[in-house]
This record gives sequence, structure tokens and C-alpha cells, in this order.
Amino acid sequence: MNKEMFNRRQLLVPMMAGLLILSGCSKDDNGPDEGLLPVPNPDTRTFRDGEYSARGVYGGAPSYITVDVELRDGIIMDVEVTPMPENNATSRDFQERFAAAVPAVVEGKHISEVRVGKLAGSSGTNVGFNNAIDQIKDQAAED
Amino acid sequence: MPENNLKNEYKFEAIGTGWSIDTKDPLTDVVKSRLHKRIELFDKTYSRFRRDSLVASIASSTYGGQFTFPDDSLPLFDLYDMLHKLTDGRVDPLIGAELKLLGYDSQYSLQTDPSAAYFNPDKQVLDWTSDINRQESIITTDRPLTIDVGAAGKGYLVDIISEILIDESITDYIVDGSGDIRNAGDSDIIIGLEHPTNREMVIGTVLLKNQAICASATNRRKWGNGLHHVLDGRTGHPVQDVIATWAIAETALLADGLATALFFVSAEKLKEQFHFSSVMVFSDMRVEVTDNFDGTLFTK
Repeated sequence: MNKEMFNRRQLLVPMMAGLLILSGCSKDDNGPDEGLLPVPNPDTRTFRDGEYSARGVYGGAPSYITVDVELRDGIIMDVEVTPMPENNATSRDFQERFAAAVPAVVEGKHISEVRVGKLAGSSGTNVGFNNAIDQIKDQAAED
Repeated sequence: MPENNLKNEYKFEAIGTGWSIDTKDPLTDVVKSRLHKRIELFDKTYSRFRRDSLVASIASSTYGGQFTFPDDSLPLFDLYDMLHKLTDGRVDPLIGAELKLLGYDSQYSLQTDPSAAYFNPDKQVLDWTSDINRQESIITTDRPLTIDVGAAGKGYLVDIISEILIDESITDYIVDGSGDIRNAGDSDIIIGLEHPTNREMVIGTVLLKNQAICASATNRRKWGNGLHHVLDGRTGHPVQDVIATWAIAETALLADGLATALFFVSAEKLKEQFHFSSVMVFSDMRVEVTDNFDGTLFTK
């Protein structure tokens, strides 16, 4: 675990900047809490690959969230946010919403790799619509 | 590829798309005939793609009039009222006019008309609660109005078909109206959630048992720049940020209506009124699921 790295907000900024609904998730010991904003002088050092965990402290209580990150070639490969286990209701609500807001991005698996009985999607399609598209394609091809 | 014992698949085309009814024993001709008659009645009421439908006559009556829908319209219109309210008017059957102007008309011309609200920000788009009068199944209009029930109609037909099967003592079935699926009985089925942009892929799976699932996506029916068939009822604009939704509920009517509503409001909002689970995919492939979603998602 390398907590020092996470006192530098620069690392978290690229992944988190567009996603946060909380401000001031992690506090920099050296300065006032500015929330997570793009920093004017980004850190240009290289970072060692590995898994890191950091605790972001915020608010007057104080409350905290735990952020686990996997770093590879200087790029954040995975982010997991865990809310504080016990807290006052309001803060926990915000934390849970924040945890939900960190995006899960879906990717596809080929249907041959997955056991599926039926498909639910809208490619089932509309015959009339598809015919119209085909006609337009034909016309476009002739021009 | 049934893995359950519903080995008989009856496939046919209805309301412009392909259907499959899976049962243990083959359907008799009597049952098939009953189903097709009922489907025809449904189509003749609600289709805006045929000139002899009730919806078509409402769309073409210059001075409006009073139109009586069959009793089956009540659950459908009641759901629309609720969804209209929950989405602040973004789900609206009167969106039909704007769909036509963007090209999704009865001829599938796919040609846009410059008077569409999409091109005219100041244009007043029609509203289901103020531009049409409904008393139960009687609709009164004062000018041509195009009612489009695409948001929940197919799901409703899945339920209607399911009810006929039950009435015919067929208690184990899967009714699949091309991605709007309802299951009943001892069987269950694994449903693949089709990838919004690649039909050979799935983004997850869910086990369906005694429930309905409806899927909605914008990437399949699109034509031209940003144009597709899921329009915001308040602005006439094709939705851009959400690209696919799935809702699982007790009935396909509800699942279909909710799958549409999810393009406009969050699941939390809809949970104020309805019991369901859902998955939503955004244009950047981010996914949002309800806590009670019972399936698997393939996330990075």
C-alpha cells in the first residue's frame, strides 16, 4: 500500500473528474480542501504499477471513503469505491450515490460464449423499417 | 435454443415484427386462429401504419371527433397517464406527429419534414394531458392527432396473447415478441441482453421466470443524423444519452412502458410507482442497474 501517492490528487483526477457528485473526497494535507479540480501543474513523474488503496477524508465529522485503484503503465485500470461502513444517514446516502456513480462500463461477450435461451434487444426489428432502409440503400447505390 | 421443456416453437409475423410462442405441446389450429383474430383486432385499433385503423381515422379527421376504443385500451392509456406524469410529459402517445415529421411515418419514408419540432425549438409539441380529451375508453379530439402507442403497445400485446394461452389452459409458455418476452409456468429461460450496437454480442444475462422483460434500444431503428425512433415527448428530439434499456416486471405492458420511460427518467423515480428491476446503458457504454436486478452484467 502506498498512501503517499494518493495524497496527490493528480492521479485520481483523470478518472474521477467527470464523475463525482461529492466535492472534497480526498484531502491534501498541504493545503485547503479545493475539491477535485484539474491541477495547473500536473505531476509528470512515472508511477509504479500495482494496486493501491487510499482513504479520502472529507467533511466535518469527518467521513471517509476508501478508493482502491489498480495502476498499470501509469494508467488507472480499475477503480473501486467503498463507502464508510457506519456514518450518519445523510453522509451515507451521498456516499452510496457516489459509489453508484462511479461507472461500470459494460462490454460485450459473443453469444457463442454465453449460455442464452433468448435475446432481449431491439434488433428483433421492424420489418417495414428494414425494408425502407434497404430501398434507400438501393436508391443510393444507383445514383 | 430452448433448454427447458417448451420444445414447440410457433413462429409468425405480427405488428411488423417476428414472434415466437414456445409451449410444451404444439398449439392447435383453434388456438392459433383465436390468437391471430385477436392480434388483428389489436392491430386494427392501434396501428398507425394501416389506413383502416382507429388510430389512422383519428389522425385524419380534420375537425376531430369522438372515438371509442375497445376496453383493452384502459390499462394501456392508464399506464400512459402514469408514465406521462412521472416523466413530466416525455412519454407521450401524441409524439406520433413528430415521429411522422422526422420520417417514421406509415410509409417509412424516413424523410424529415422541416416543420418537425426537432428543427424548430419554439414549436409547441402536443401534450397527452391537454391536447386530447379522454374519458375512460372514449377519446375526443378537435383536430387530427396521431396517437402512437409504440412505447408500451408491443408489451401489451404480449400480455394479451399470454392471457389467451392461459384461457386455453396452456399454463407453461414463453411469448416472445422480438425482445419483449413473457414467461409463465414451471419453465424458466436465460435471456441475453443484446449489445446495443453489436447484435452478435450480449452485455449480460438474466434468468426470466414468471415475469416479463422488455428491451428498448435506439441504435437499431435509426436513419440520418442522430435520428431514431425514441423521441422526447416534450421536445420531439431523439434521445441521445441513453442507448438501451431493459425492464423486468410482472407484466409485459409494464415492462415495455418502463423500458421506454427509462430513456427519460431514472429508475428511482419510476420506483415511486412501480415494482420492477432494470438495466440502462448510456452512449459511453456506462451501465446503471437497480439493486434488485437479478442477472449478470459483463462489466470491464
